[in-house]
Amino acid sequence: MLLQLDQVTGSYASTSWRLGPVSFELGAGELLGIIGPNGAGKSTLLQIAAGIRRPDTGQVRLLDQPLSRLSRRAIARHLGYLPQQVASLFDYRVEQVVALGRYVHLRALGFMQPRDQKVVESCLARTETAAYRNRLLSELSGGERQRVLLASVLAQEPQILMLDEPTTGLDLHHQVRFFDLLAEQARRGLAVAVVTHDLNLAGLFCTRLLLLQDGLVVGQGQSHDLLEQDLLDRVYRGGVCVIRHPRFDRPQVLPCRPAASDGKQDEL
Amino acid sequence: MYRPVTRRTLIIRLLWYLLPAGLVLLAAPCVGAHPLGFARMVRGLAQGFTGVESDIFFYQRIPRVLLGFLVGGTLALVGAVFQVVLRNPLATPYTLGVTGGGALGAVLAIMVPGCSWHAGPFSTVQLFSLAGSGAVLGLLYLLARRPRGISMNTLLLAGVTVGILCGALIMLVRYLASPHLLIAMDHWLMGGLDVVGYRGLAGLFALWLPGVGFLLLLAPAYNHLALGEQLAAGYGIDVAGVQRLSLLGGGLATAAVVSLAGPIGFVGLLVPHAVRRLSGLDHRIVLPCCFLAGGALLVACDTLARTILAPTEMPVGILTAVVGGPFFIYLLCRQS
Repeated sequence: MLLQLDQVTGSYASTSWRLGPVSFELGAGELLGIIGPNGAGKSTLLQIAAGIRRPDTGQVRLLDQPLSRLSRRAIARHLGYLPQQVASLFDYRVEQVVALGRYVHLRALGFMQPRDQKVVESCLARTETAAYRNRLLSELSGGERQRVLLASVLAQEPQILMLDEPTTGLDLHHQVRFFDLLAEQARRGLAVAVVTHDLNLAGLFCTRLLLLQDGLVVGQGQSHDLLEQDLLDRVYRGGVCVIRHPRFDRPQVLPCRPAASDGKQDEL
Repeated sequence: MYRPVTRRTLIIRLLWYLLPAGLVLLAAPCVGAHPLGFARMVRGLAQGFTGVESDIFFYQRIPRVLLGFLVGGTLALVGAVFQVVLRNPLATPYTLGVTGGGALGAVLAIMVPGCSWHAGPFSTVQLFSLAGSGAVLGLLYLLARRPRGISMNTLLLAGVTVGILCGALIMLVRYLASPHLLIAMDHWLMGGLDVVGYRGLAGLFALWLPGVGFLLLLAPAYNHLALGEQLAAGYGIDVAGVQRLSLLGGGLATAAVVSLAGPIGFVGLLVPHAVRRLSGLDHRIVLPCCFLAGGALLVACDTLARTILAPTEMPVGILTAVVGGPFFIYLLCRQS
């Protein structure tokens, strides 16, 4: 296993809310979807798993080494992390953002060697962002921007990729393309963990799901086991309807009017 | 179009700034109330100056030009760093109130009777100013430190508040001080580079060098930090460490130059923005270029300040604001 979380807990000083204990493992070639309602602890769990936040108790192991004993630079050589919100202070060009991902492989002043330039080119190509390599970040659409940030994280050449709600604000086409890109990375042998609110994309693309509620793991497994009517009704407190995808043998989740308001809505 | 920064591009960009900066450094000692002229300066250097000219050149002009270059360069460099670390394009070396603390210390030293001695290369005004800056820096760190780093929002707000508080205390000191001391206080508060000899410069170096050294070594990390703390951490940057060293390095360097030259405005705000527009956003280029441009700008302004009203001198802080303000507005208009 590339990453192991063992009985990890987390909390915030200002609230009584608490994450965990949570345990899970992530192996090469996996695309793990971390799902759950707002406030379930998805982002907190991802930050702990990526070493951005320290757990209160429990241990995270990266390639069999405790994450707490590794420097940020050592972690970043194996693990790429894309946070939920990226607000750049400066209007960098696309290629410059991707090149920033090479930091962990460069020496003191960070001058790139020909091999680093090749990796940047390859990441631009893999994410289909090479065409606008000279454009400014501010000139990109939401979908293009997310792909550029993914290219930058891929330039770290990590074995593990962790992304926090990377498709928020994207249209359906770009959401599907982005998840397809993540699935391709998993097929190439990367271990990918993605936090998402989109249960349909998670069900369609992820090889495994981890369902959280109020800081605890409610279940983990295949989409067939987790995207199940009774379980989702309980976790999301109603308002969901599980059906089969017409083309793929995967469950899909539709929004559903709560039973109490059915009659009123029909009257309207 | 983006081109990756290589050793060659870094050297070429540095040369762009080094050439005009070198010209300013060469020309500035020749100009003043007593003009020396370039040819006379070269002849003097080769054959020896006459008594008075030697004193003017070696004990007034050269130390003053060197101090101006160090002060201007440091303010611009620290301004560029604070703008990234505090994620605020309006940040300057003075935003954190370190200067306020330094100014309070300086006016206290001027006010206290019999407080006019030297300890090694440091005058009492310089020592009190350093103590004031150090106290503010320590207070800010205590207020903004968190278990895993520094809260930049708290640092910014606390810095501005401490700056205002120091301003109020300076007014109180001025209110209580005897009128003949007000001239000395005002003179210090307006900022100036009127040093004689090299003793002050030597004292400045001990704090300045480690401060500026930290900031230059961290240059690659600032490129990542501009994309946000979490993404920077994902890239492998020790964000808390960079923030701590930036605060310490920037604070030390600012305290050092302010203790000798007083507060000189606009260089720390104007130069970083101008350099980023001219030379891109890579801080491996931006920081050393800011140092060269800031140093050259302050030396040029100081040369003007001591010649346009000759034989009297205008405080250089007035001139940097008068020149810098409209130029900054011009840059903003050009962008919009």
